[in-house]
Amino acid sequence: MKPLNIIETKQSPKVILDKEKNIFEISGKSLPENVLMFYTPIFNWLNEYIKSPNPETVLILNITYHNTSTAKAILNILRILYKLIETDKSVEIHWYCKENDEDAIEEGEDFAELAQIPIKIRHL
Amino acid sequence: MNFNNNMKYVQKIHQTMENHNILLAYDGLISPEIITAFTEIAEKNFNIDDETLMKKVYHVMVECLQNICKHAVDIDTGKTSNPGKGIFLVAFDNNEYRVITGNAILNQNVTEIQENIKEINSLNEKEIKELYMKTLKNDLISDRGGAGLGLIDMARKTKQKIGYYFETVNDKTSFISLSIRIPKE
Repeated sequence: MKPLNIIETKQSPKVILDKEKNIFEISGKSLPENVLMFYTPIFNWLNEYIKSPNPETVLILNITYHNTSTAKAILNILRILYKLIETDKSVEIHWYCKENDEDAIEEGEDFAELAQIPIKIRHL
Repeated sequence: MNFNNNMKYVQKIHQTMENHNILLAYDGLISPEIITAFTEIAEKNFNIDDETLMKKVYHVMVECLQNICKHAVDIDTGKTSNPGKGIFLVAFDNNEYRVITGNAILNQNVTEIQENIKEINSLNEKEIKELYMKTLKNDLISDRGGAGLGLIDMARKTKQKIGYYFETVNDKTSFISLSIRIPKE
């Protein structure tokens, strides 16, 4: 499966989705002009990936800022990955934020609750 | 009347901005480039040491600017314009930051937006959180992005009521002005 690499810009995060290297990461700021346009290739890639996933999938979300439209996109990503749980594959989300950033910690917990997927809060 | 007399208004605008402690004022097209520029100005020039506060100010600015960019219509014709036009102010007064916006919307959307804001303003912290979770869960992602979740999230993060004002412009459009307060804790 071909990896998906997207270079970071001022409005959108860096994305690495690489099945072979087992690296799944979204990091940076996310406030793209058109959330759907930016995230659709990511949704498509993940929907392909879950058809024949690696035994263990760890998605690193190191999103330093995201707007509310991005929140919906993140939730959608987690919903796709939730299907791995349904098929007894291991999946974990590592939600990176600063230790004192209570808003960001809460957001990570909110996503975990809404998507019913385990999220580990990792401090930067 | 000579040219120099006509230019007095420049000083008046400057004085008004000083009096109201306005850090940033803009009236025009709100393009993605403008949004990037303004948020960079906030990070570099507002001198906010408290990271949590900075993130809140940044977030309110982004949500307000993107609302105008995506949803503002032409004030005369009511036609969709991309990017939209609006007025955007950031002030620091009475120990709080204040983001104030103004733009045209269609008359037919006034009631819905008004009711949305009234509902948000009537809720306590816990209820706002519940509404946020419910809306995030059920809203579909769209290319335009719903303004609803943005308003809820701003109220959630700032823990303040949303100030608003509507005025009919003509038979097609109304002017909506929003004011979001971000207190320094």
